[in-house]
Amino acid sequence: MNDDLRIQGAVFRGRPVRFQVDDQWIQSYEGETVAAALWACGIRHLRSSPVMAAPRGMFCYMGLCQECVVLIDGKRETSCSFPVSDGLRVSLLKTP
Amino acid sequence: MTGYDVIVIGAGPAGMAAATRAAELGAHTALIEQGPEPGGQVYRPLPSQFSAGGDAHPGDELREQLRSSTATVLAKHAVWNLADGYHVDVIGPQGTKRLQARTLILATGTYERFVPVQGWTLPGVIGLGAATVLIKSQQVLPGRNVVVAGAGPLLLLVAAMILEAGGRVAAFVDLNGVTDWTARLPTMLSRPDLIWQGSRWWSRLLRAGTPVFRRHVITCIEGENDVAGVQLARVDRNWRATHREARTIAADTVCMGNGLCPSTDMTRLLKLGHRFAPELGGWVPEVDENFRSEREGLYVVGDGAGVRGAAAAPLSGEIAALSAAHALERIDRDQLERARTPLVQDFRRASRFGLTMSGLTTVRAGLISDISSDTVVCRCEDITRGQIDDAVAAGCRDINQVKAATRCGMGPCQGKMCGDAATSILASQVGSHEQVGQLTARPPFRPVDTKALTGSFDYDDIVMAEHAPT
Ligand SMILES: Cc1cc2nc3c(=O)[nH]c(=O)nc-3n(C[C@H](O)[C@H](O)[C@H](O)COP(=O)(O)OP(=O)(O)OC[C@H]3O[C@@H](n4cnc5c(N)ncnc54)[C@H](O)[C@@H]3O)c2cc1C
Ligand code: FES
Repeated sequence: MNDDLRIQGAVFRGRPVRFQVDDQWIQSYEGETVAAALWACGIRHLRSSPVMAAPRGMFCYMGLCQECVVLIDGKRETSCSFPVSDGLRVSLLKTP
Repeated sequence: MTGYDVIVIGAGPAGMAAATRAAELGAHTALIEQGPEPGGQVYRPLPSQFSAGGDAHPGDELREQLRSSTATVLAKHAVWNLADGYHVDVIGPQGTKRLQARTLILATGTYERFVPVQGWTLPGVIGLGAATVLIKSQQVLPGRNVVVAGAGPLLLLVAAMILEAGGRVAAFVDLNGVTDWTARLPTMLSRPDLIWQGSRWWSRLLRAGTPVFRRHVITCIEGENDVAGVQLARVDRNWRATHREARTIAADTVCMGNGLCPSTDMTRLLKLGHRFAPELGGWVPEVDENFRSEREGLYVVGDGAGVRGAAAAPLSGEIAALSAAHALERIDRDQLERARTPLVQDFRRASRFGLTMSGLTTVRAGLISDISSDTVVCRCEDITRGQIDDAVAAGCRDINQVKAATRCGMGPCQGKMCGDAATSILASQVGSHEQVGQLTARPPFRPVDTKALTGSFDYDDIVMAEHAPT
């Protein structure tokens, strides 16, 4: 899924911002969370599980499950509660 | 350390109403919320950088009343520990701080119950609650072609929201049948407004030609690194899968959920008595008709005291605030009773409806016995049902023994995603939920950066949301 999942026409979003995920630049809007911005452009596989190294991504969207944890500017953060801003550097936690 | 008469934890409808009322009655009150703004799950506001062009948002009225009260609102602050006295440890943007209050009102709401199924750990599978927040607050569609599955009112809400926002619902998969819904009609008639809303959502599904599967369950979510499709089966009255559907339904996203569980980590830590009440969502703390616990000055309100829904939540908050104000000698017994009586009547009416709805989600035995042994139950530690069964075979009889033996519930979610399922698997073999108990709660309630805990911060540094001049 590569198209933009943002719902059009219902609201005015915040100022456009750009942030980096691994080596890709992502277009986003102020007020969005990192998890929602990634979801909207089809980046849903955020990390690998600890034992089976199985693909995982955002699940509860309320800060509880920790499945959306990524590195943001070098720190482990739950991306579902982390707001986007210009120039953030996000690294996914996928084991190859 | 800053002291208050009343500290309310959680700014959903229950906590907002409790804090507003307590402050109005003259109590020095603080309301603590981990989210960026008051609202809670049902009234989650748009981000402040978004604008909706005029329309009033549900929940605005409660927020407005709170704003014009004298209650101090500490948003973006999570409570990570509680101790007697009552000491409340919070962590916010500026670090940690300890607050103190004579009265503590817990209003931390619920989290979703998930019954694990093959493939539910794939990226692209999210909770029904997650879907509501993604759509309502972030204005992002869960997917283009979405399977909505599970039980309860959120199922219909999510399906209707997806269609409204321009998505397609690939399948509407409801564990309940038509008769499960119609059996509840008499109680539902007490809220014609909600019946009207429900039937509008329902006709939205019909108009869109959504494939509806009643008395069905997902048996497997397929996909490599993302969702590709689902397999379904018909269930019997006990929710055990009987006839498998022959074809796989293609989908890019799955939204699933089996109702809500009261969030009891704080009441467990404070060692309150709990009882297992499936109709209220599971284990609930024991409280009296004023939502007062056996501990002096400790109240539990809203869905955290039992899932009764968004209409009942603020009423329970107000009743607790009145009782607390009386105990703090801000009002006399007459004033208490006069204000309380109409609230109690409204609360009873609202809870009847809420309980009827949450009854649709009470998990039936077949759903638990059908979880296959290679299905991951604990997402944090990759523990399967087979490993839990092995622990039971080795003699584990208490959920904390299973936790020690398997690590199920030991990961960073602290059992919030798997605790209910693991406990139900164990209870189905040992006999009852009462026999297997609950996971022991340990602080921190939220993952806390240890660097923040060792820093030193001044109370004056904490950013506080301002309230309107009065
Ligand atoms: C994900 C989700 C989505 C839902 N969507 C809907 C819906 O669309 N429509 C509907 O009718 N019902 C919905 N419900 C049910 C609804 O939540 C309840 O009926 C109602 O919101 C209960 O109100 P409450 O005040 O008891 O709890 P909530 O509204 O859940 O409020 C609890 C508050 O406590 C805060 N909190 C919890 N722990 C801490 C802590 N440690 N520190 C600081 N703050 C904390 C939370 O952030 C939250 O804001 C949803 C439930 C969930 C779990
Ligand atoms: S999605 Fe569960 S913590 Fe972020």
